[in-house]
Amino acid sequence: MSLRGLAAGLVALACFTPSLAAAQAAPSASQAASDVAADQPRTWFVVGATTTTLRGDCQEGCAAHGTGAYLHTGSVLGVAGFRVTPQADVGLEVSWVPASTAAGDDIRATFLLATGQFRPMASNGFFLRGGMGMTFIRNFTFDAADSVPPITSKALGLTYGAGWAFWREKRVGFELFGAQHMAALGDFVSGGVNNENVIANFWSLGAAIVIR
Amino acid sequence: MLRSSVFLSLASLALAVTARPASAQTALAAPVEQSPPPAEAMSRAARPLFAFDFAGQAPVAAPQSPLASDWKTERRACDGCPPRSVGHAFFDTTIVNVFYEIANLARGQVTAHISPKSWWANMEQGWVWDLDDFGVNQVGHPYQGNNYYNAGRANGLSFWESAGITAFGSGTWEYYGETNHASVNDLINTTLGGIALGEMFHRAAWLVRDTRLSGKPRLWKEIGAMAIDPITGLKRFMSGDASRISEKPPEMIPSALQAVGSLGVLSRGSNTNAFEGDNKGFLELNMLYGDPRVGRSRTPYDDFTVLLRFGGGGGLSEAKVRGRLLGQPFLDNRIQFNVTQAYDFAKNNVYQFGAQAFNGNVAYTMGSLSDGLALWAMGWGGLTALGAVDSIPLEGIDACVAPAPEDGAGQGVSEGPRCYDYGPGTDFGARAILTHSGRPIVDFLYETHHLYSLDGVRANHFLQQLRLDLLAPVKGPLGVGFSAEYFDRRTYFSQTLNPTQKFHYPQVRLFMTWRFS
Repeated sequence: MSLRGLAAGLVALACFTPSLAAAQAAPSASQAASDVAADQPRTWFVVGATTTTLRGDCQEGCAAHGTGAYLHTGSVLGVAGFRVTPQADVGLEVSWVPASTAAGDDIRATFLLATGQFRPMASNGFFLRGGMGMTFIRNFTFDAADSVPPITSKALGLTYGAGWAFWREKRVGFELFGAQHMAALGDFVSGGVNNENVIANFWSLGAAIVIR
Repeated sequence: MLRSSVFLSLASLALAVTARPASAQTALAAPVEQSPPPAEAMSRAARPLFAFDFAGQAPVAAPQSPLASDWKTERRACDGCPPRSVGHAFFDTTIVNVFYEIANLARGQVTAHISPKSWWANMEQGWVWDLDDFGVNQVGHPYQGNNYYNAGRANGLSFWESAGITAFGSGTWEYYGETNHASVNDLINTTLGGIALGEMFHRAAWLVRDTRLSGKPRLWKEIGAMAIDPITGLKRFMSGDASRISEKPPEMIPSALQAVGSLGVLSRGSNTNAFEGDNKGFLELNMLYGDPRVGRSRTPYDDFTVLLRFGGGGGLSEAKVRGRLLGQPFLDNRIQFNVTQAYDFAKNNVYQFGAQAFNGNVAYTMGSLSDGLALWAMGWGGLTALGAVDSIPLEGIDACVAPAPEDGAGQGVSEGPRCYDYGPGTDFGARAILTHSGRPIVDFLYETHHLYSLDGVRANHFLQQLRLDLLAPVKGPLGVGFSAEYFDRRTYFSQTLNPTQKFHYPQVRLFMTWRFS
């Protein structure tokens, strides 16, 4: 199964979760609140996959500005952390995004991010998530013609997103989320041309298993 | 910056307008002590938009809140805490964005002409680095973030929850508040800077409020607090909390409080070590809230320090905020470990620097050396989420001036060049303070900021500062001081074709001090 297929399967599975959950013990409001009770373990784990669209670009007079193609792929991610308040968590996110250029060359992006999650409403599963850290980019291109030699570099990584968690059991649930990741690679002299402020943006829709 | 000024001005104006009806109502309003309002009368549905209840009599201390028994049913965490409402926090954050948007429209900024088309274009593009002025990005955006943050705090949310609200406000502003593409440096500065400034302003405003008073003294204190923290202030006036008699939230009462103002002259040398040009006057305010030397702390910002310097080569030439996120003592309180959040801003006639950082620091207290002498020493190190520093060549900010918007660009559109670079990094440093009878007499500081510029030419920037302050009491709270500082900057470019750049600036200050506590 391809990564995109795996991601699509997880999304579909998670989409069925609300009805499955509703058919059980209607855990929504009271259980969501009790999930973060003081006597609960403070750990927080997320493992999931996404379907992702990514695009690279450069700025400020860069010749290749605006020429980058939108590439479609899947990704996997994991978060390990702990609860700091009944409605806030912090942790470490690792996200791996493999992709291919139009010419078939491999692109790899790995995000290593300190992340925080805020669940504003105790009565339901809505959450906001954001993080910041490093991104490791390999063989990255940002122009559609592949005229700029590929970049392998560390970058500043950032993510934010929102989603909804559905709890099937007291400590295990599914979540659906949308997220955007960004990798800021900086300036590069490539092929004799200075490409200023290269940035890769990743837009994702995903599903994950949550364990608390 | 301008946006912040506009906001503050309008907030003050709104307050001035709304305060008058409050005074006018006092003749009709029964004194709070004589006729406490029933709880149901204060219900959300019954509240007017601005619910004042200021009696015009002399201030009195209320032994007990008339609504004390109701605070739990009103979703308050304590008697003096605001009612908790996550929905209102998100709504108020959006209102803050609408307010800034209207302010930008009123100023004629073309970036304020937003539409669903601009929203979609921003979402299609994703994040970029922007080209705005240093002050806008390093002070204006953190101040705007402070408003988002306090939309959370004003609605009873915790520090961590309000941090999430800040990110929400910042993200939505970047995508939907301007036609400019969403800026990653704005997102980080607004969120992290907003949290640091927001909690600092929130707690500083609570120093001004006295919730046990009533009448005009109470009104003026609420107005003073609102000038510091406009969002919480407005919320309190609208909800009626501004006139509600209660205990002050225990979380907002510091374990200690010290403030020192300094007024003097400053002379900054050039890169040749020569002291050239005019001396510059400056006014500096240092505040210590709480006690960073001791205590197990799990309450963010129960201790923080603030340094604000006006003049000395810039309007606001320096601002530093250090807030404790976590504290843990060891070895019978002689060793203290703290995790702190840091906000830095420095802009003067020769260099500029700004950063959002997190540090771990270890402090050692050696009390009673002799005759009231005590030594407190601290070392720290940490990560800088995002920092900004002058672009090379560093020939003073006048050497790089962003041009006026060209035809078609319009007001509010920055087309560069931007005279500073952005990047993450690290920092470390040490500080030692020798005190006599609790008053600092020697203050030594060394710190290094390292930035790896990602937005700009790739390079490692090392900025070092060495500072020694000598302080002497004169009489009562009055004192004098002398300070010698040395700044050193080295830039190592990733591409070896560019030579390493070195700059250094000495600086001396002579000043008078006044202790406020």
